[in-house]
Amino acid sequence: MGRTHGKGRAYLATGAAGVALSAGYLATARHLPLGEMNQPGAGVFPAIVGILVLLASLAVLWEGWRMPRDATVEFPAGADALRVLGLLGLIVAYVALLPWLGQVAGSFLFCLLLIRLLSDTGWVRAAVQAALIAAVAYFVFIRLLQVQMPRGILGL
Amino acid sequence: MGPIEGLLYGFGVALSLQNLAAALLGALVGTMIGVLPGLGPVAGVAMILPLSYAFDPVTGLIMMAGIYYGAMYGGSTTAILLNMPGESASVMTCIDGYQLTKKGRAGAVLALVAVGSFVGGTISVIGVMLFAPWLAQFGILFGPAEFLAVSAGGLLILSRISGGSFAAGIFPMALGLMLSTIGQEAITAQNRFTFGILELSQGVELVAAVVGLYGIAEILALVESRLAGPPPVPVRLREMMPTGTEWRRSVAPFGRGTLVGFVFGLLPGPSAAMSSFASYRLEKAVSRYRDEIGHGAVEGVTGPETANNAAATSSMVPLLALGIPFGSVTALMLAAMMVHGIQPGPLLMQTNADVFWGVIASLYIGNVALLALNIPMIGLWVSMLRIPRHIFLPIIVVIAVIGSYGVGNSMVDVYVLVLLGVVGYLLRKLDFQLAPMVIGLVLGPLIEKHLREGLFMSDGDAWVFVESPIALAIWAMVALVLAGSALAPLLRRRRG
Repeated sequence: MGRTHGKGRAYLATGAAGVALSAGYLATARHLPLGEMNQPGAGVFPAIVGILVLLASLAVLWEGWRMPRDATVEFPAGADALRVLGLLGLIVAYVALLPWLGQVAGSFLFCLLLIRLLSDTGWVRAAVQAALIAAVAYFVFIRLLQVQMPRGILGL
Repeated sequence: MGPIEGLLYGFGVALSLQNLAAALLGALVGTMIGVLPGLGPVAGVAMILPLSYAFDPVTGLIMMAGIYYGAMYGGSTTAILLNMPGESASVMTCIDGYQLTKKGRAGAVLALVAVGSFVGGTISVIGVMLFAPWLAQFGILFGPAEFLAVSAGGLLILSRISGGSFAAGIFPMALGLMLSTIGQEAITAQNRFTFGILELSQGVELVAAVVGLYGIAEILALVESRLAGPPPVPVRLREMMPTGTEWRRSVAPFGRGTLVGFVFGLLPGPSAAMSSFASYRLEKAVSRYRDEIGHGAVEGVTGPETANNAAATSSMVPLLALGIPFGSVTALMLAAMMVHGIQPGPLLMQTNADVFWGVIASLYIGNVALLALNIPMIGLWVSMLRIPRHIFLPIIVVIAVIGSYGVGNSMVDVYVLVLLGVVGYLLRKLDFQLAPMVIGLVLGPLIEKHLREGLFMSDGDAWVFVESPIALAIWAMVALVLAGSALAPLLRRRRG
């Protein structure tokens, strides 16, 4: 079962994040040349977009403020939340370690841990399944399709 | 070149061994993507985008188109058998499709859907063949002002009619435009918002962004629940023959669905999903068996499924004729053309006739391939639904990472994949629409180009954007649609 939160509050938080983002974006865009009307510079379009993001964020805030109290948004809780966070953590670790571990070892470890996270499969069986996935991905993408991936410690 | 001559020329292009294989492979992979949860048509086409760079442009585009309409069909399989829409266009199919499965008619309905998808796709191709050249001729009259009106106006309409509230469409659209400004600017080659990261000067990689927003976000949503769905019912080939009554009752929905789908495909927005919804509503309003719809009537499945395939096909018209994509998949196809150095737009028919007519002819071939593949292979598609989630989810993530890294050999693209995966997951939770974000990302550079070109050419006169009758008419239509969509809820509330 998930945990419900007020959708209005979620919109207010999103809108506030959008306002902060647009402020940072517009502040950075200020350093770009605006040029003249007949010679518009590289800063013109970002200035328009920054204002659009700001207006859109204000619209999110407005809708959040006007949202009925019974409007809710459901996020996973308990074991379900742990599974989502676990997957996210595994993806982040996979990506962070990819240059060092390389595609083959990185994929193997990621698949092994994800299979364990999502099922009751034993370690040996999970390792065989993970090795198969990593091997097939290696042969199809790196050997056959010649995709250049980080080789890492195994040099594969 | 007239439509018939052009089509014959297109068949000459599309029937080469390489292009025929691309259409077949695309339809096959697309159906697989549509059947498996975790990847819809958009993420599927995005993942194939880097591979398409290795082929010549026509072959790449043919494969992408095959994946698109293959996934449209594949999505209906899970909707009918498991009450789980493989993608948004199959939501309406669940209602009657699953009821029919419970009545033991799954095989017959899958066969009718295959035929309906073929009919809708094929007739829609004829419309594309006749309409796209006409629109391209009209598009030759377009200058920066008109292109700005079509691209910016289309994006505004898309953000408003994609579903959800005003903010739910406009906020992601603005974020997409913001992402599009990252990287080297086209006219003066100035780096913007790269913060000294060299890899960002190429801009946000579209493949990583789309696979993150649609693929990784969907996978995060899928693991929220530990429970897998019910096992699919086995479907045997001999159970796939519909009865005479089922055939008769499907003929009119095939026709109506085709018409609805073709029209919706020409408009900005999630045309496949909108057309299937509109077709379902139409069947409920006009069908002789309208009382049965919702309780397991073939009309409730054949109409929407015919419509979404017809829409998938006709959505090629604005792309091929004007170079403006009105949907996420056609936006990816536009990106593929630009990588190959093809300038999409009204002159495409003259400058790259092989692309223009080859893609149109391949739509015919793809529809035949879908019909030929799907009926005999239904058992395979059903058995794919039995692959455990803990096997196919790691596979999808590994392919997503390889696909994102492989485009530019940059880890920054992989970081974008993960970051936008999280953003996509959160935005979906709050019912924000993702399509305006993707199209904003693709159309951003084009909108900027037309805006700056218009100002250069008019010596800084901003009125140039509304002076021409065509641009003015387009902006008036945009204003009308936006006002209509804003006023409709107020009117509904007033009527009680």
